[in-house]
Amino acid sequence: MTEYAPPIPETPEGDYSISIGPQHPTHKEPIRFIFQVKGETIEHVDLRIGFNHRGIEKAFEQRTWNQNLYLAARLCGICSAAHQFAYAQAAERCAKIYDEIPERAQYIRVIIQELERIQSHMLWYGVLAHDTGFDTMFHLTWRDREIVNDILEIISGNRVNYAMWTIGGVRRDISRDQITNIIPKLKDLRKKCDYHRDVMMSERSFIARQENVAILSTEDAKRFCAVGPTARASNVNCDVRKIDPYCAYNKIDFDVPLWDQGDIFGGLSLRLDETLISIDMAIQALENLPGNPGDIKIRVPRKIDPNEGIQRVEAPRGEDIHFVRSNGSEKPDRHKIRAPTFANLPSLVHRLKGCQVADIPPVIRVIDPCIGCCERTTFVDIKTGKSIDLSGEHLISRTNRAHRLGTRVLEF
Amino acid sequence: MMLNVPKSLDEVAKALNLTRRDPKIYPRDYYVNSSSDRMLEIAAKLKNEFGVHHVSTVIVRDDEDGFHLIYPFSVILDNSEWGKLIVDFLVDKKNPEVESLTPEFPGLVIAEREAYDMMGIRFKNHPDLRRLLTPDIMPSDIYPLRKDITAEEIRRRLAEEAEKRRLDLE
Repeated sequence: MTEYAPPIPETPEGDYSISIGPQHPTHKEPIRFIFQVKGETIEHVDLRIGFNHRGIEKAFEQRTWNQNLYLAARLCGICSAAHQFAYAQAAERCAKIYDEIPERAQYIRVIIQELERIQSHMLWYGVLAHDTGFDTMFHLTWRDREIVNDILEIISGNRVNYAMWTIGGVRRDISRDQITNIIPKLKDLRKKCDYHRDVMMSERSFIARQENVAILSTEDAKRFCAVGPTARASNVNCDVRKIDPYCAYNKIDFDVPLWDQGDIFGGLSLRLDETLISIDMAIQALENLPGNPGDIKIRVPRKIDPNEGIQRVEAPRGEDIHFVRSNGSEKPDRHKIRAPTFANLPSLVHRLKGCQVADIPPVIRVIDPCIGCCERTTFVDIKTGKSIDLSGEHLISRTNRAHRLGTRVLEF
Repeated sequence: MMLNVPKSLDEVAKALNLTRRDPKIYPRDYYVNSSSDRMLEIAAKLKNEFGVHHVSTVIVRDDEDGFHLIYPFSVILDNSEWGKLIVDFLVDKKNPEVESLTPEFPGLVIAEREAYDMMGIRFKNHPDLRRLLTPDIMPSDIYPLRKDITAEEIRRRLAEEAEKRRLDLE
């Protein structure tokens, strides 16, 4: 079993090593890669995560079921609704009330999920355009993304962290006035997304940068348990909305686009298609919103009898799975979160091997990484292969000494 | 070899000689109990006979009777839906050592590292069993998600360790 990265070797495999991260202009979040390079080709990749590990699973065990809702929303900025949703549904399964949720609440859940997917995908392809040197497109997509953020603000009052879910339903209803206000905006957004698609699919220098780069074959996508758009770009139909339907997804008509090249361009075209489909789904759910206004939640007991619940949802980045166990008290006994980026890391490490150094930013971008915040760094001495890890305190003390002694202090 | 496409999760559980336990009310969530010595056998059978390729994660639960290692296997049913066969392996608390499933499912490589990091489950034949998320200065006897250690205790030990390293450096 050597197909996954073994520990960093004592003597590097390549000519030299490049350390990228935890803080680097190509990353929007802290993750650290050590690339061992031969010429311009990547031979070996090691990766270090955990810079933003906040011990949130332990914190879940110390708070009540309702308080945890607000903690779950803060797992991530862009896909906060997906995490909160997975937690709320897992808790509902645990309390055995999952089948009693009002239909209107289930449709509102679909609407928020799809709006979140639209804003996340638009953000993603804007940043991909930026990473591949197409900054005009980056500004265009981010300008148009304001429309969907405004819609989310109309519905929930917030542009991020919508806090719409509660255990047993949703917290806010959508009124008739709001629907008549939102639908024209979504139709306008659809035209703009169509335009983005046309521009991106016809700009040849932009496409040349992505085609046949970092190919992930169908077998590899399955072997490394890839999820979400990453796996769908490699022709694995793993959309949780279809294969394990939840809330009202089995009542809504939609297609799942699949792409079989498995390169970066596949990931882009797939997400461009998904954005358009999500807009259609949101319009469809808004037009067919069932039930009586106000019938959006049911009462849940404060204590949940000993039981277990597991729920997966399709977050913008892929399958997001939450597991909860209750012990009869007001607090969960165990809560486990598996975010989609975590599941995509093994396949990312695999597909980075053999790439060119210049392709690193778009390849890392293709899984839509969503990570967290920095606390320490590692220096690798290439001559001896020795590495030492430094904490925040070390860095401060080294900085102080550097002030006194000059830059000699950084030599080992 | 022809893959077997099951009609229901009952069929899979029967072939593996497992019985369903509570909670039973959701048809696509199928919970079963097993013990850690059957892990390799069950994983190989699921992969080779039923074509299971997706295991979402490894969940570890610290309970009084031992550690529960929970693997949600995604089984593709004949109506092309994916059912979750949630297998709960009981692991001895004094010696938490089990066979790694990474050779069968390479995608589990970091999920098992996380289980080792957080709960101290040692996986035999894992290609790269190192800590994953905790800081490099985390003392080797602390596994933060175990029930016998509190958040305050972890914070205190980490601060001590950082202070010790700072003094060593100066």
